[in-house]
Amino acid sequence: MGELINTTRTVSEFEKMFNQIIPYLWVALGIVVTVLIAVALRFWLRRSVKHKLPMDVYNPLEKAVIYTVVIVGVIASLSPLGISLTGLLVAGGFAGIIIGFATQTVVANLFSGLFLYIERPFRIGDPVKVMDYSGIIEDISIMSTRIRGWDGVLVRVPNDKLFNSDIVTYAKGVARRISYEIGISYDSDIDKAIEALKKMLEEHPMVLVNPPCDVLVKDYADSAIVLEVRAWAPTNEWFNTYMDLLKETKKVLDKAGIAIPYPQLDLHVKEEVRLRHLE
Amino acid sequence: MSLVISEGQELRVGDAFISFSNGELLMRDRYHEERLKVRGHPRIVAEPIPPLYIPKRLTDCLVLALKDPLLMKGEDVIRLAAPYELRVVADNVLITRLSPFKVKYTVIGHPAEGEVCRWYPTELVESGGEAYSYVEVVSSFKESTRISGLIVEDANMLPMRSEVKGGLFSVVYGPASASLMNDYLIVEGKGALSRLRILLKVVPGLEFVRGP
Repeated sequence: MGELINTTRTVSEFEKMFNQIIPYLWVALGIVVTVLIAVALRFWLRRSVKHKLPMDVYNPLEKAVIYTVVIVGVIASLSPLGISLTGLLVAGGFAGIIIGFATQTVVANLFSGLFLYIERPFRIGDPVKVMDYSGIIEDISIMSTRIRGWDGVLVRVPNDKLFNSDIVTYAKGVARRISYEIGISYDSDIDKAIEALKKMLEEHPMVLVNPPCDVLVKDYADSAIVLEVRAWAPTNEWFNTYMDLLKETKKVLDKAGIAIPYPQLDLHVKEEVRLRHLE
Repeated sequence: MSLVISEGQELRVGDAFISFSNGELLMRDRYHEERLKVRGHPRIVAEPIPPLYIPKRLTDCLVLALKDPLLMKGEDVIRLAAPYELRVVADNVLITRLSPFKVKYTVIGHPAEGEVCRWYPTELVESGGEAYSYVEVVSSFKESTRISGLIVEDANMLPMRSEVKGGLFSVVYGPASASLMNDYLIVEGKGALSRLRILLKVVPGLEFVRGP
């Protein structure tokens, strides 16, 4: 009789223990299933999506998808333990609002980074001008963008500032126009000056034949006749060509006997001016 | 076949000038000049190559633009003058490249998304011209067709064979076909140009020897 009571108690304790373990088994099973889904999803993403997107877009996208699946899956798996997904989401929502206020700038940078990934106004290696910075894009991360200035200095620009700024991308296109003004004196022969400048453009190997270059009279200014030189160069050679042309302009005008005047002011005096002899 | 430059000799082709005297090698074109002190007895050779390297390697595309467009009909053969460059090699080691011609580039298409190409103002040349390289176009247009020039998408081809004929050094490139687009004959693909011949007039005192 005593043995029967002991056996019944043992079975009862075993059932109780089993009932206590079952929720944990469900949690473990849920987590395992979540991990398997995440692994399968990553496999599918790498096989079907990866080759369609650039690496700097794909990598953060993969992380965002996998982490979301794992977090939601793990929270859902905890429900057998009485931890409610709804409750957690509500708590998470409140926490999100508080954290959002506290980390407003970080979140702004994050979303600006995402929008930059989508819009892609520039790529790594592009020469750009953003705010007061000008140089080559060296790295684009989710929070900030690094620009290597022409002087070699590395500048980190937060993505929200970048996103709200005017961005000038010099690399969009195979050719870029050079345009600058030069003043010649009113005594100079305009046709001779234009001819000399056109010959200079024709001789330079990097000044493109098409689109055509041109030299035109732009203004009759106070001290000089202003000529404008317009020429196109391959984008990669734009800066060097511009510098060459600026240097050559003075030389060819000098050679053609065309003067580049200093700013001058003619003073006309209506009344007679008496000069007093100073002792 | 190669053009060997020995001590005491000079070679001038257009703007390109090579001089080897008193142990000094001078190489010059309108874009640069190089001087080298030469020790030992290297074998210095000048070879014609496609015109893509001077002053910088920007593109593989070459445009031959006719000054006056041409009207062609039926079976016909024309020769368009083509540029080339010279590669100076000492014992198979590249020393420099020289351009006998003025270099210009152009954009085919829109500046935003077109293609930068080497540009050369070409004209029809008669056979047997001196110091010329040319592209030979064999046509069979059924109707009168206006031709403004030739665009070679990939002019970076190695010589298929070279020969000395009638005092001219000739390099002949492999066979191909061309299509017509906006008055221009378009040649696409590597080694695609049909019979591009680079002919250099032999300078007295220089000798041709069989290359390595």
